[in-house]
Amino acid sequence: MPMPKPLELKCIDGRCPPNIDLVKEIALTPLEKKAIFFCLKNSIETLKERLREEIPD
Amino acid sequence: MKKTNLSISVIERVAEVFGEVYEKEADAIFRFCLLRTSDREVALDFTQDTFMRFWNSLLLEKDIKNHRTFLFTIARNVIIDWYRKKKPFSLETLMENATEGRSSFVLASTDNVETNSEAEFLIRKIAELPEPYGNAVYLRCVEELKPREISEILGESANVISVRISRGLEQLRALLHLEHAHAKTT
Repeated sequence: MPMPKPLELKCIDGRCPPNIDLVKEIALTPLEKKAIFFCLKNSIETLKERLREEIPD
Repeated sequence: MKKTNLSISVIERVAEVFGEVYEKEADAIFRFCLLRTSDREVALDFTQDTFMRFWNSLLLEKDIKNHRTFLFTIARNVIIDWYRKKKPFSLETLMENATEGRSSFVLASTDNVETNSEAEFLIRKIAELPEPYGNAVYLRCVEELKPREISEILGESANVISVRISRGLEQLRALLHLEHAHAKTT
């Protein structure tokens, strides 16, 4: 395993270490984001469909 | 009949709110789950589970004052349930992935290897922080929640949370300092 680059956390004006911001780069890939939403949307649509079926003609 | 029609209209209204919140918060919730599980697949499942519970709460018209803190609270509960049911070997998973050259912490928005490695390194170090410091530092410094918001998620007073953030950051600096010293000697 390659040695991680040494990092030093620094506070500027008492604020949180700026390089922690890098962690925000860790995110869902666009595909993962869509896939999760698709599954959730399907559940929502199924529920709506079930309710519609309850309405008589 | 009226009740059913109303329910459909509620669902459509709720679905709109849900879509907006999902778009805005999905990455943050995923990151939080990843930090605590070190397993991308598990974190994906937990993100989905969290939003499904959020959807159900919206449907029940629960009084949700802050969607963000509400979601983090759900995610935290999902993770706690998981720890209770099955003690995970997240560190082992992490080591296995590292040995095999796989990483759970793939960055979505950049192909920059150096940024990727720094972000991964930092999140690992935050994950190494013992509780009660890890969550407080993470939610404050990465997700930029206010101590009052973090106190809602973690069920402590804002003062307690501020102390945890401060002590947690000291520990994080110490961890990074040790790593730096270790890297220098090898």
